[in-house]
Amino acid sequence: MKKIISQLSLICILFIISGSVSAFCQGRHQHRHQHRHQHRNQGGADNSTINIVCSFSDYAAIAEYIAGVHATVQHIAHGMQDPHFVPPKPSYAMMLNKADLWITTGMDLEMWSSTLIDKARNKQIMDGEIGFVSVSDGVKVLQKVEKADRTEGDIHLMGNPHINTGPLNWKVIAKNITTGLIKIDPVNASYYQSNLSDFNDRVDRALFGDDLVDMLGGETLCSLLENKTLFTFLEKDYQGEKLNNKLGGWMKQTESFRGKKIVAYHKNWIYFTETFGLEIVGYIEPKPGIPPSAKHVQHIIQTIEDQQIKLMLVASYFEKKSPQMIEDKTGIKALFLPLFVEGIPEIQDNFQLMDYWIEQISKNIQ
Amino acid sequence: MKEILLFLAPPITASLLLAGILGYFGTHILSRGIIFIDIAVAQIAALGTMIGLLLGFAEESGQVQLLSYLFTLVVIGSFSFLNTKNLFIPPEAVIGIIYCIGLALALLLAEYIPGGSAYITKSITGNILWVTWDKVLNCAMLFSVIGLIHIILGNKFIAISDPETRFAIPGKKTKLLDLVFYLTFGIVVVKTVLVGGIFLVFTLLIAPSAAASMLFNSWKNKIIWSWIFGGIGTLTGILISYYMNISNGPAIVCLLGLFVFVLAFTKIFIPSKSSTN
Amino acid sequence: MISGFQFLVAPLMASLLLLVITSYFGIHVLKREIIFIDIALAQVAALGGIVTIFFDQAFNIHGISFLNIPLHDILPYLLSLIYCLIAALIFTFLKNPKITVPIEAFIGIAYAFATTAAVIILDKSAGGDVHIHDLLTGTILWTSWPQVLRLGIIVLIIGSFHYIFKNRFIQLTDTYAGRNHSIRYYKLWDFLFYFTFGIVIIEAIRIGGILTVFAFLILPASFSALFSARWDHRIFFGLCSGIIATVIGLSLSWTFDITSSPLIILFLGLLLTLGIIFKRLLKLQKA
Repeated sequence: MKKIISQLSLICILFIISGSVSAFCQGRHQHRHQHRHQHRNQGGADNSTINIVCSFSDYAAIAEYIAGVHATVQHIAHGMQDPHFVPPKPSYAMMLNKADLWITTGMDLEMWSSTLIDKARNKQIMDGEIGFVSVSDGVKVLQKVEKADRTEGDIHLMGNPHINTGPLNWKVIAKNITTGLIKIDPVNASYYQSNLSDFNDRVDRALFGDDLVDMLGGETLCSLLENKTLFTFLEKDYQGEKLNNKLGGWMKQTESFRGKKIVAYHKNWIYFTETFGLEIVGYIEPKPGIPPSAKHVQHIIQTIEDQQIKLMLVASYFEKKSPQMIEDKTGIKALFLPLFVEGIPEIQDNFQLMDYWIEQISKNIQ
Repeated sequence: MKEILLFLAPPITASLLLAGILGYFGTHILSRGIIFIDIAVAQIAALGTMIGLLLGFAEESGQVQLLSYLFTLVVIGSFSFLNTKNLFIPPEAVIGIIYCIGLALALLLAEYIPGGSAYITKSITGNILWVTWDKVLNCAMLFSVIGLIHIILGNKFIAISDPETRFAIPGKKTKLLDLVFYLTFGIVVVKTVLVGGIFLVFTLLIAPSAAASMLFNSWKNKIIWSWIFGGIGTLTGILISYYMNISNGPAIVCLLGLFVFVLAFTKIFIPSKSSTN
Repeated sequence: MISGFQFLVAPLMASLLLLVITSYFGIHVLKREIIFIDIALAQVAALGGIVTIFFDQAFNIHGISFLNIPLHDILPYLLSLIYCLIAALIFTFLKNPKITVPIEAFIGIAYAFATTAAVIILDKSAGGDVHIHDLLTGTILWTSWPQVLRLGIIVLIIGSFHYIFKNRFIQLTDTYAGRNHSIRYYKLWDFLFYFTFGIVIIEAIRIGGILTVFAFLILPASFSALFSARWDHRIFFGLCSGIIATVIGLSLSWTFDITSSPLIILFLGLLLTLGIIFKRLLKLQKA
């Protein structure tokens, strides 16, 4: 009996102590969250800035471009994290609670966000409301599933959601973000529009180089690229030389890639390879968590041998062990690339990310 | 046909090696009643790797592997010193606690390691299909060394694993033998999980020996038949995976699992079946 | 602005409900030496859910409603229950003198089988990209009040059932290891045990995740085993340790912005260690 009484009093004391400790800590504690530095923000965040929360760092980088001084931009998933599995932390819900704009892919990639949104109790950012931005609206989606019926759960029915890997998609993402911003802050619409044009221009120039953009305009070039008629077009002559000679930027840097065959670990890279002409002949593990069958493995090994494939792209959030086993078995080189901005500390925006990818692939492609 | 065999040869050899050593250890594990020990060991090994990564070593480096092994051996060594007779909870519960806390620590540390979520034993990672002859040789050598230890001390190990004979042996001797047993077991588990993945290892450890133990009584028969069941199971599994285009590890696991359950129910419901020696 | 308290109240209530039921069932689990059963049952139930997807695709039952509830909403749950029932039946029958293998082995094999069968079905049936979501960490911090209510109802029903027949169940487990059973309809009660346990566990795992429930089953029961052999005392001690760990764990997870399950588990482990030390000291004192 004595024991029970002493136990009970112990519990009461512990309740009181833990309660007061947490109350004390809350008063002093600053929530740690993923916070992007505002390069263009001189004034610092104040109450009149818009609170933008993005699912991924890539969207945050673009949002910063567009929103500039008028917003504070935060993002939830680390650059190094697997985008499908983001363990929810309390601070995320708090971030979302105070958000004016929630920017997400909108293609059931961020399944983890639904619990967060529920807990955040912020009506404005729910799907369909004014503060919800689905950046994939209008993106030319690849790898859609043919089946028309919908099933429950973990299936990317709407196609490949890793849209951040294709620079052409950045323009669509930026447009959607601009639309969202203008909806909630129509006063600064022209500011956002101007930033959008700046951004688009920057993307064009990064892709094609200044010369061609000045001559033909970014929009033309982009639609040519999308329709896969760019290179036939560039065969044309203009003022005595082929247009091709005026090509600059990423398209020039990746000339050696065109037509090369590679293997990818998972379906992260399709938009990148479509844009720059690489051909993915096979995936090691198309369905993560489901190891491939013997037949699939043999087929891949055979393909790698037959077609002399030398390079395998692996997003850096994957465990290194399996790709290394594949390296040992087939002699292929596994290239680990961060999938997102801030995946490695040196990469602070989308352009740097693309530069990094192209540099690394150029080094390793035979 | 030839290419298929050529392609399948290293994985099949590796599986047979795995089935062999795990079938042997499995019979012991079953007798000691600590079924989930390998899952606990795998998680502790992963935790060791994470600690290595946190200390700054590169993922592929030898130091990380070493740390992983060392950490595992320390934990499992301490487990072996537990006085199972005076324990207020069954040893499997201790295994459960180790697994649980190990996993909790791994979840907390995963935040601080890029790609950390890969070290949490939740998925069926590992595919024996990618194994090279190099690795097979590596395994074969390691297993022969451990096998040798177990051939020499085999009978003594059987004596301490079998609950009926265990307490007849003087305490100190039991403790020492226990330690050697668990240390060698730990090394085998860490190695096999690296090659085949946690689920394959778990199934090869338990299922063939469970089947053998249901049918036979003598240790010799139990061990031999675990090998046979394990070997046939993996072989069939790989072939099924190939011809029906099913994920490899799961095919083997499902096959062996079904086999055990069917065997169990046959035994229960068919009265005339009596256990042979 | 959500305050810490507002945020944590629902999770706290959910944890309390979980602890009430797990500090009781945990003792059963420990005594019967079926430690990993909740993990196995969770996987089996998940398999049931996945088979639903397969049915959905094969027979296209989307439009069908039963009593005004769309079938495809309740079907996963229904199938999980049915699979749980089957598993309960299997485990009941496996407790047979002819089977010399410990039942934990079958639990283990069932776990591996259920997990891999789910993978194969997903692999084969799904047309597009499949990403396996695991129930490991769970989302106890994110519990909503409707979920708490639902858990409460199930705990109440199953809890009352076990309270009414407590003598039956306790005797069942206490004599589990033995060969002769003095209880009439032994198999029926064994089956009821597994089935009710399964129902509760499925619900518990939906809220807390596999790891949390596993820890709640094992750690408080181990802690309580240190101090008493009587069931009512053990439930009390288990509950105490659970509450302390949960309160501290939840508040720290809020303060330091970490997922809660691992913290709660660490504190449960800490309490267990303290308990062992405490008992050692007591022993030394007596000697």
